[in-house]
Amino acid sequence: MRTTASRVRAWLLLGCCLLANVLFQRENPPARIDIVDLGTAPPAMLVRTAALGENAFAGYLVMMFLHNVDVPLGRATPLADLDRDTVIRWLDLGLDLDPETGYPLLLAARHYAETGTPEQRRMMLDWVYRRFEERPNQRWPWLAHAVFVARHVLHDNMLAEFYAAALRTQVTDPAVPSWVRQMDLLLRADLGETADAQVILGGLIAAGQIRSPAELKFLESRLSPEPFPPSASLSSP
Amino acid sequence: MPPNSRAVLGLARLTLLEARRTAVGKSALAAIAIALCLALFVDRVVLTDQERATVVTYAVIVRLGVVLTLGLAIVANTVRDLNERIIDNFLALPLTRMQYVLGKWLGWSLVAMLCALSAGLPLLGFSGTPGRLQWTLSFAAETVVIASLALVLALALARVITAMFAFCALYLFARVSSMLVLLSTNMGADRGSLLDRFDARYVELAGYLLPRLDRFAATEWLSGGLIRLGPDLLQAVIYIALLGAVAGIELRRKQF
Repeated sequence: MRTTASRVRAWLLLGCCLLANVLFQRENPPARIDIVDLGTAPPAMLVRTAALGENAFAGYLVMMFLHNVDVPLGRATPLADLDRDTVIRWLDLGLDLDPETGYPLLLAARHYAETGTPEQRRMMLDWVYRRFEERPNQRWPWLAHAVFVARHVLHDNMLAEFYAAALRTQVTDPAVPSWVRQMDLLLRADLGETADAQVILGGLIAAGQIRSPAELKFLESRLSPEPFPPSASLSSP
Repeated sequence: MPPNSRAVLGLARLTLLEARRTAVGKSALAAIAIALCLALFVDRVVLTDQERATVVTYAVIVRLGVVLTLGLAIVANTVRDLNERIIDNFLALPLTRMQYVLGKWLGWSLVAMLCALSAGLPLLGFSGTPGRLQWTLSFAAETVVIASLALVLALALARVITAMFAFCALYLFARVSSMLVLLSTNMGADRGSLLDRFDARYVELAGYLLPRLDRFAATEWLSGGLIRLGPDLLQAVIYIALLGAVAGIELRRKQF
């Protein structure tokens, strides 16, 4: 009897404690997050020290955090609700930690610049342009995408021409595909600015950046309606 | 071969057998496997630079895993030898204390190099990654340095937790000391108050007492960065000799 009673008391105690725990958990549910607060990006030197000097690894961790911060625990936050100034500071941190990577530029050009209000998108494109100027021969792919976003998403032809002109004048690596420097020309031809496009084509020829007669013929065909005057002698490589 | 040399080499061989018996190799392989799995996970997560992100992640995690595994194994084994008086059996032989330490050091250095070379093997799967051989060799030098450090700390402190704590603290400081010096300079510590200047000099002096481990097996080498293997090897030789001198002084002081 005594053993049975003590066993019953033990089980009763367990049941009461379990019930108390369940009630406590229900009274204090986990906080629901509607909009993620990115918080201030830490200083780069602090991150470098915390990562024991492994800058590239720290850069990837920062970018993975930024890339996934809008989906905490499966609940998505609209990208447009993220403060763009803060996003830019985090992107700056990622690129400062690891200047060789293109991850921050990819996120800016293809993830954040394709969502939000036009002002938000312009902010991201402006950031891409600023960081492109530091290493144009390495970071041209993302500015090329910025030309596309400016032209076809924002419908801002002046901005698209500005970026395309930057690609033409600042990208000097001969290994870069020729269409990158020709974007300016093709864009102006598309916009009907044939005279400007012809001037640019002349400049590309003079600089030896038109690689083959077939390429020249193709580019000339894009310049309509006026026929292109006889081109200068082309010395293709 | 002189009898003492045979005894030293025999002790080294015994250390290798002990490492095998206590599954140090298996632990290191587990650390390498975990690092590889985490690196492959990162490969699935990142949007761009997949191969570079994978290699960088692997290099960082495998370094920490192998260093901690080796440090713990060496400290635990050495402290056990001290506590169970196994060391007395060896010192009863015609061996000096330094020869005993030399034999243990040879054995553990070989274990460390084998672990480092094993850590470098998965990099063969990344054909587009430069500097893999140099990174592996430099990492081998780093593991020999940290094996030497763990051995000296274990002999000096003779407690597993204390020695491991000291090992971790010294390793972390050796990795970040140059950055702390730069940080204090950039923040104007050398022009600040007396306390700031003292802090700056203190950090600088502490940095001189430790090797520049941030130069060993730099992850930038695997991303196309400038590779400088010679200074690492020279630093390893200098610091191992320094640790040998510390061990000599410590053993003279110790009562076995």
